[in-house]
Amino acid sequence: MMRNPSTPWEAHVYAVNVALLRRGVYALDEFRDAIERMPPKDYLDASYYARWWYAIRRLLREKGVLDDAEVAAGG
Amino acid sequence: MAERFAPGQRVRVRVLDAAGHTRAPHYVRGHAGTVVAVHGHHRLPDDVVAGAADPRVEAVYAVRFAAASLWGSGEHSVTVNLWDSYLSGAESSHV
Repeated sequence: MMRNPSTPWEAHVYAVNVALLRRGVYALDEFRDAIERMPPKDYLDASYYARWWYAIRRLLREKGVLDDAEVAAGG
Repeated sequence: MAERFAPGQRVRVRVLDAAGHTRAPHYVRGHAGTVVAVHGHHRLPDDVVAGAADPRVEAVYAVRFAAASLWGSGEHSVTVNLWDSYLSGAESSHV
């Protein structure tokens, strides 16, 4: 179940994801899958929106939108 | 595109062992529930995520399960949206 963003950072992550989904950079199923591919320990340590941020960065790298250096620079 | 099931029918979820992403939760696998709605036809998430060039498009059913049948207790029900290939077939109508 989706949780509403409660901080500006969470709202930013939410907005980035919606923009990328609407532009067809990746599909919602791929986004869910990327979260499920998170290493279990990282998943358990991460907040809800930290998982989203992980999935966004991973998909952008896998899709070739960003390279490793750009992903790293974006935090 | 015809649907295999109609609202009111009892169906059983296949005991799947998905290699990757799927929208069939573990807690309903092998359990029987009742179709309460048909949500049209949608791309099978398992295929979409696997990068299939031509993902299967299947009927998606809202299937209601008695919580007690899933977890042994509880008066409520749980309704899960399930793609056609997650379902093995119709069950007899009595619970």
